[in-house]
Amino acid sequence: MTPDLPDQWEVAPEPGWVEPALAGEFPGLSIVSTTLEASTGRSPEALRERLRSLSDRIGGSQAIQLRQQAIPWAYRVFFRHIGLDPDTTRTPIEQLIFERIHDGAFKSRNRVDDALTIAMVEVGVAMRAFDADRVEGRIGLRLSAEGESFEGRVSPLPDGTIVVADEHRPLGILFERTAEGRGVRRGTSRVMLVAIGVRGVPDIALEEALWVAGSALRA
Amino acid sequence: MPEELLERTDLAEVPIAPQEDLVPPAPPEGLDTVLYEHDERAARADLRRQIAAMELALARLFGSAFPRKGIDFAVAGMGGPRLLSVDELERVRDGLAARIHDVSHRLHDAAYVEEKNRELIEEMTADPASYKWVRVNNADIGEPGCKHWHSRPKWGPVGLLMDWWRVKISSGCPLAKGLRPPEPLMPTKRQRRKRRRQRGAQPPQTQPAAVGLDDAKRAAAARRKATPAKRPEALWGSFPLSELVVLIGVILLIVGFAMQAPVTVVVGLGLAALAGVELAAREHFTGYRSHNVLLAGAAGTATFSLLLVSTPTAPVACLAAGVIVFGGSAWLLVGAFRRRSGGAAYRIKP
Repeated sequence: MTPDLPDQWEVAPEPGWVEPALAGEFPGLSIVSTTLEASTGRSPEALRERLRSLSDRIGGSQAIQLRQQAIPWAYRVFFRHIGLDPDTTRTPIEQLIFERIHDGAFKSRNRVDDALTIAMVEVGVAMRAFDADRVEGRIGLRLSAEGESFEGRVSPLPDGTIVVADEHRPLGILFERTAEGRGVRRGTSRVMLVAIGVRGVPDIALEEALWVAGSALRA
Repeated sequence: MPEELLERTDLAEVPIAPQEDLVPPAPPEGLDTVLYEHDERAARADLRRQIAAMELALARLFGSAFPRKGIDFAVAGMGGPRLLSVDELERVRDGLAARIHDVSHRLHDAAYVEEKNRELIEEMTADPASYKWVRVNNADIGEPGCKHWHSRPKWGPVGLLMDWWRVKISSGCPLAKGLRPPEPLMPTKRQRRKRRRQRGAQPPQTQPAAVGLDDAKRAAAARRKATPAKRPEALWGSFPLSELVVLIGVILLIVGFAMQAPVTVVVGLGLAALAGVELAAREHFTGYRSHNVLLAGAAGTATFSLLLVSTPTAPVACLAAGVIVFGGSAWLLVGAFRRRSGGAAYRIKP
């Protein structure tokens, strides 16, 4: 008997813009996004089962060798380049592996976070998700202007901070906090998945990460 | 590893020294020219390439350092995420270089010590008596796990007296503490009896079913799993205090008999019994091996002796009190052992 296959979903990655000053300093820095209709809330059993099976595949030895692998190493290098200490502010993939070792498993949080966890662990690419209805125009990376801030932040951003932004305002600090109300919340119907690439991470990996996360979100 | 991160993109392989007369003086602050920006960009790109190479070297050192502990791999960040200046990138690069240097030296020193410890294990194994009580752990030779080599007297106090030594190799990490051991998969004897009574007079099965056999095997496996891998250590660690107390007790007994001194004999007996009870209690209350009768007997005997010596109670009443204490203690001890051993009422062989 032929099993019922889920409807195939093709990712349509939309390249984001990068401010010329940043692109000149960091060749290879890129941001790619895709938007899809998806419900939020508790993960279905299939997604949680996938998370459990992923937990079984990741252990201490992978954690030790992680920073020698091409993509995680590229992110560590980029963190050094932008003034972050990757041992204090961990790269997204290292943070996930740390939590896996600490908690004994990848804990299920919600549908979107679980989908991002699966994609990031499978591919190694840094990802984020935003409420697509609250993003105005195309998404990109730029340096913050003087005195600029975003929702939920009391003090202005330090001048020249690298931010993820839409065409009007910052949506969050790169690899750090998201602006209040811009992330995926209960009731979000359209999710924008974002993959951030750095030098050393191939474009195909970004596309694959978006596809894995999107497929998991639609499961 | 993507080589492009380590490649020079903006610089020639051999840097060309700028001609001094072609380089204009530095402009005032806030009036940076395109030329200066370009020059700094090239320097920043070169520093980033160096940082990438050093990060890779540090990552390899991190991988090779496992399972050694206490090595610091941290290199302070500059506060970001933002564009770093040449000066800041230089500080990151210098921090990485210093950390690589430090970690390499630490690993080199650790490798030397570990090699010496391996030689020590070989020497200990060849001649244990020359390395009395020496203990070498897996961590001392840079290996993961809890295995250790320990030079100890053979057969405890006997080996200590006769100077018979051996190297005992212990493997396996101690069980995690804090949580209760798993409940047995098979019901305990008491539960089985209770169920049998509830079911009424059903004829016992002559041949156990395959499922029952499987359950019994699983229950046995669960019990074995709950059993500590080795005899629990005393509060005072590996120091042979109990053995020494027994030795002193035996010496006092011999001296007491030889000199016909009853007090010395009683003290010797008391010391020897104390050491024995301590060992039995330690094994019993950690679920390693049950000593229900011995410990209950010690409590009953102590009660009987105390009442008889210190009170004017009749000997029969003292005996009755001793028997009651014996029975009560035995009941409590069985319960205590069952809780700690994963359901077994007794265990003779660990």
